[in-house]
Amino acid sequence: MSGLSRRQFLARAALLAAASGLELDVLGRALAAGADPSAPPAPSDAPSTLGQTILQGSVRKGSYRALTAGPGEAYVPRLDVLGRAPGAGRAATRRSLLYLGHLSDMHVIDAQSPARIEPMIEAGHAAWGSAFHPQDPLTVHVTAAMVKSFADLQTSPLTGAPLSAAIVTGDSADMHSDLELRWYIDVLDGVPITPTSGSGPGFEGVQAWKEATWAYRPGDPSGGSFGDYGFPRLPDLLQQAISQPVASVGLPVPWYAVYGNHDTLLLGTFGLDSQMRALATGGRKSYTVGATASTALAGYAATGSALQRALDALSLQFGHRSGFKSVSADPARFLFEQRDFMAAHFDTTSAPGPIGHGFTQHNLDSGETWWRADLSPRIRAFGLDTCNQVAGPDGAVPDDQFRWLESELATAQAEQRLVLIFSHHNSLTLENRATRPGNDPKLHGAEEFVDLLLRYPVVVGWLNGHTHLNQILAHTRSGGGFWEVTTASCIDFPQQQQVVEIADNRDGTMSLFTTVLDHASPVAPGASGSYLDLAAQSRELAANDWAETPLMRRGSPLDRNTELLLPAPFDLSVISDADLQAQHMTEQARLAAYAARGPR
Amino acid sequence: MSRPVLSRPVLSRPVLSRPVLSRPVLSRLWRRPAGWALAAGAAALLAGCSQTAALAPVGGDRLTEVRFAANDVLLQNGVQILTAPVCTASGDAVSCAGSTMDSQPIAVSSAASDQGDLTVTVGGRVLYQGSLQGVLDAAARPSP
Repeated sequence: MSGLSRRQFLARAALLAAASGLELDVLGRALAAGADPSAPPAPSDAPSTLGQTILQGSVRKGSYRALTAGPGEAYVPRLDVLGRAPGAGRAATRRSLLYLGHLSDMHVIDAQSPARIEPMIEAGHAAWGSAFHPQDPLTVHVTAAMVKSFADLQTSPLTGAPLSAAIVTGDSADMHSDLELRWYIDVLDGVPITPTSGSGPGFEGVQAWKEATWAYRPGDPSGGSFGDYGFPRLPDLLQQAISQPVASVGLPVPWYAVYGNHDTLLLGTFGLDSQMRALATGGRKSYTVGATASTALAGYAATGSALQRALDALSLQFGHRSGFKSVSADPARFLFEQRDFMAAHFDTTSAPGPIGHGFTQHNLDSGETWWRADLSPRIRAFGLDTCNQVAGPDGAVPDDQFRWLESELATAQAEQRLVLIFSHHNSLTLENRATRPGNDPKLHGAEEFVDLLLRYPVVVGWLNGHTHLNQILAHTRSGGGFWEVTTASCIDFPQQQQVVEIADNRDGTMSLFTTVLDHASPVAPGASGSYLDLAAQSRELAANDWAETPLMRRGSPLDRNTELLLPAPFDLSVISDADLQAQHMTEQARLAAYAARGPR
Repeated sequence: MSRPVLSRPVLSRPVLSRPVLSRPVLSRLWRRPAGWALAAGAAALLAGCSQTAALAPVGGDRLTEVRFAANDVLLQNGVQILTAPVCTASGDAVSCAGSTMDSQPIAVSSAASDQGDLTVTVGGRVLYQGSLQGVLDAAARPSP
C-alpha cells in the first residue's frame, strides 16, 4: 500500500485547514486516524442494527404490542451477481471507496393542515391507509432522530471510513405543503424548528377532535377502531408534538435529493387543483369522509367523470359537505409547485451543502429535474426523476431522461467511473405510463431501464425507495450485473434507513455493504416529550398500524445487513491508495468542521 | 390457517395468531399512496385511459411478501444460497426460483387460490408449507 508521502499529507492538511477554517492542530488530530494507510481506522461502534434490532414485543392491550430489543444482525454475503463463492481473504485486503448515507420516504407531515385528506380512511382503511397514520404529528421528530443516527455513525461500522455524502431518494414532503418542504430541509441542515402551523394554542386537527372517531385520538382513543385495537391513551402527546422546538443535529455530510411522487403530486397521486390550494391555506379542516370527498378531492375528480361519480357516491354515503371545523388559517401552508421543490433546496445552509443538494442553476433554468454529481473522483451519481407528472403513485423513466442517462453512462464507462443511480421508484414500481390527452411522451418501464443499466458494467448500484420496505434485488447479465437497494421509510414501521459502503476487495471483486439504521431513539418511549422520546413513540404506533402491514416492511435478512458482491467492472487499482487517502482526508475534514460547528 | 406440515418446520413455535383487525393478504394489495378505491370503480368506465390506469396500487407488494417469507424460511433453515429466489407474478399467483451453493434448485410458490399459503422447496424437498403471514410475524418477533 502506498499512500500519500509525509510531505503530501502535510500539504493536503494545510489546504483542508484553510478551506474548512479549522485550526491546523484541530484538523491534524482529526486526520491522524487516516495518516497511515497500513493501519486503517477502527470500525465505529455507534448504534446500528449490527448490534441491536427492534422487534415486536408482547401484547400491551388488545392487539397492541410494545416493541422490544432483539439481537444484532451480522452482514449476510449475497452472491447472486458474482455467481460464485467469494474470496476467503477479502476481509483482510478490502479498502473503502465510499461510505454513503441513504435516506428515503421521510414523509414530513404538517398534521394540522386543512389540505390533508385523513378522513378517507373511513371509506376504506386498507385502500387509504397512507392518508392517515396514528403517528402523523411526529414525523419531524422521527426525521430528526434519524438524522442523529447518521451523525452518530459518521464513520463506518465496517472499515472506520468517514461518511462521505448522503442521498435522499424522495417523498420528503408528504402533502405538497411548502411548510413540510421547509421542515425537511431544515431538519437535514440542522436548523431548529417548531413543527406546528396555524396560530391556535393547541393542536388543531382530527386527532384532537372527538367527532373524528375513525382517527387515533391519543387523548381518548375509545370509540373507534384504533381504540378497539388497544392503542394507548397519551393525553400529552399532541401538545408535546407541536410545542417544543426540535433541534436536529443535522447531517454531517453533503446531501443530495431527488423527487418522489409525494413531491410531485398531491398525496403522491393526484394533480393539484385550485380548490385544494385554497383549502391548504384556509381556516376550515374536514373531519368526515363526506366533506373530504365532496370538497377536498372534488376539484381533482372534475377532471374525470368516473372519479367524480365515485366521489359523489361517497358523499352521498357519508354525508355531503358537512364535517368541517374551523382552524387557524396559515398562508405558510401553501402547496408548492413542482419547480419550487428544486428551488427550496437552494434555500439551505452552506454546510453541509451543497447548495441545491444536487440540483443546479441549470435545473432551475431548464426545468430538468435530474442531475449528475461526482461523489468522489471515481464514483459518479445520477439523480433521476422517475415520478409521473400526471397521476398515480408509481413511476417510469421519461424518454429525454432515459437518453440523457444512456449518454452519461457511456461516458462513465469510457472514463472508468463507478456509477450509482438514485431514484425514488424501484424496479417493481416503474410501470406508470399515465399521460395527458394530446401529450404522449415516451415513458420507459422497469425492463427497459434495467436493461439500460445492465449494458454498462460500471453501474454497481441503484438506490431507491417508494415502497417503504427494505429490499435488495440482484440484476444480472452474463458475467456480472448490479444491485438494487430499496430502503424503508421514516413514516411506516420499521422506520429504518441505511448506510451503504462500497469496498474494493482487491481480488477483482467489489462489495456493497448495506447496514440498516434505526433512528436514535430508545426502544421503549419515555414520557419526557423530547424529540427522541416522541420518535420512539412514533415507531411504536407505526408498528401497530395494521393497515400498513408493518411487520413485512423489515424485509428479510437478505434485504438488511448485507455484503453484496460483484465483479469489479475495471481494474480498481487505477484508484491509487494515495488518491483514496486524499479523498478520506477531505471527508474527515468535513466531519471535523461539523464537530467544531456545534448546534445551530 | 394451515400449519407447517413438514418434518422440519421453519418455525419452532406455533404459527402466531393474527391481530384482531388484520386483513387477509389479498386485501393488502390496495395500499400505499391513496386513490385506488375510487380508481377501482372508475377503471372499468375509463378503460384505456392512462390517467385512470395510473391510479393503481403501488406495485409489487404481494410478490415482495412472498419473497421475504421465502428468504426467511431459507435462512432459518441454514440454506447456503447462491441465487436468492427471483419471484414473478402471474395474476395473484407468485412463484420464485433460485439456487443453492451446491446447485440445488430453490422453488417457492404461493397460489392465487390460497394467497395466505407458502411453499418452499430445495432440491425437491419441501422445506416449508404453511402460513405466509406466520413466517413474517415470527421473523419480526423475538424467538421464544
